[in-house]
Amino acid sequence: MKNKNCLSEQDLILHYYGELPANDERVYHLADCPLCEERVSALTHDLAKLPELSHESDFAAGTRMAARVNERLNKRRRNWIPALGASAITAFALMITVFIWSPQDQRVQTTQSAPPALAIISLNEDMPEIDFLEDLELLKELELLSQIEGV
Amino acid sequence: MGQEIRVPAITAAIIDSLPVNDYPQKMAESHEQALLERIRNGDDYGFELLVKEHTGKVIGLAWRLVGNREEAEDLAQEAFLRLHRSLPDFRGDSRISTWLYRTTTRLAIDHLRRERIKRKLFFFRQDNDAPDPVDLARDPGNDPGREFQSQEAMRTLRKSLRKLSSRQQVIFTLRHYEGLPLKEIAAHLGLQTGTVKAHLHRAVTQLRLDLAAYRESSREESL
Repeated sequence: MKNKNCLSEQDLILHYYGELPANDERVYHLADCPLCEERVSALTHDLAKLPELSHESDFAAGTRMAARVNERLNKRRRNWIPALGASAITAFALMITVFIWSPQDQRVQTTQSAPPALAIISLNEDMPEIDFLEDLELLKELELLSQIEGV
Repeated sequence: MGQEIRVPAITAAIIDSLPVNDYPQKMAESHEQALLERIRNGDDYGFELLVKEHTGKVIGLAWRLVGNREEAEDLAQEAFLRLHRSLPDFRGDSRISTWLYRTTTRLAIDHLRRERIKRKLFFFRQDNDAPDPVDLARDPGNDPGREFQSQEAMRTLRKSLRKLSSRQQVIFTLRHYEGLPLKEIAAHLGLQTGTVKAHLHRAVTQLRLDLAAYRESSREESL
């Protein structure tokens, strides 16, 4: 009859695979318990009946595998070259675009985004000789005066 | 009468100074280091040699884990490609064989999981009872009846293994067929030893049940 010291199924399996320490009390129990001994022999019988999974590797397997791996590596390398070329061309085209468009963009951005006062300032900067305009108005007034006087 | 072999004093001194037990391992390690050095220096043939040296063991392990030669070769190929990618960072903390063992095991777990999901989601029905074509091509030897029985047992084992979770399947195979200690299995899979023990227990219990049922049914058939 099974007593409280009898091994659990998990412990029996661990014992079968030599995973219990030699000085473990469970191992000592096994030596004295006929029931556990019987369970161990049933387990041993079942596991010993499992078929072998022996793999027969042929002589050329290594060469074949090396060729397969080599082919994949070469394929990867071959794929890299066009990808690298395409990205280089894209980067170059992008740089050219930025170089061509950026000064104009900046000018547009300045006039569009600047507040009105700043816009006037920038206008004044573009036409510094504002006095000349004042003189022009004076001339227009003189011309109008001479027309009135009928000269 | 046994004749005593006389060894010259100098030879005896050299033999005594050799660390006999770990000598082959040290030889293998230095050979591996030399090979790694060659590969790092851009020698492609060095990598080819590495692949040739490890192919048998890697395919064998993958085949025991997934049960199909074609899939095993695909997994082995992927493991070698990953090794090639990792070689620049390979510091040599572990042996290449250990690294390949761990990678192949993890790849096999992922593969088994994918296959399981595929079968569940898409009703993809793999012919579980179909034997590996390479097994069929094998010479039956002197006793075709016994060969048939062993193929039947193998098929039942594979079928039963497929019922287990991918982790249980891999842990059982590594412990039972590869003879790997549970602590090492735990380290390979990044699991606690207690978890590995529990998985092994469930796997063995399930396999025993299935194989007992198989034996029972074959006994009934023979009567």
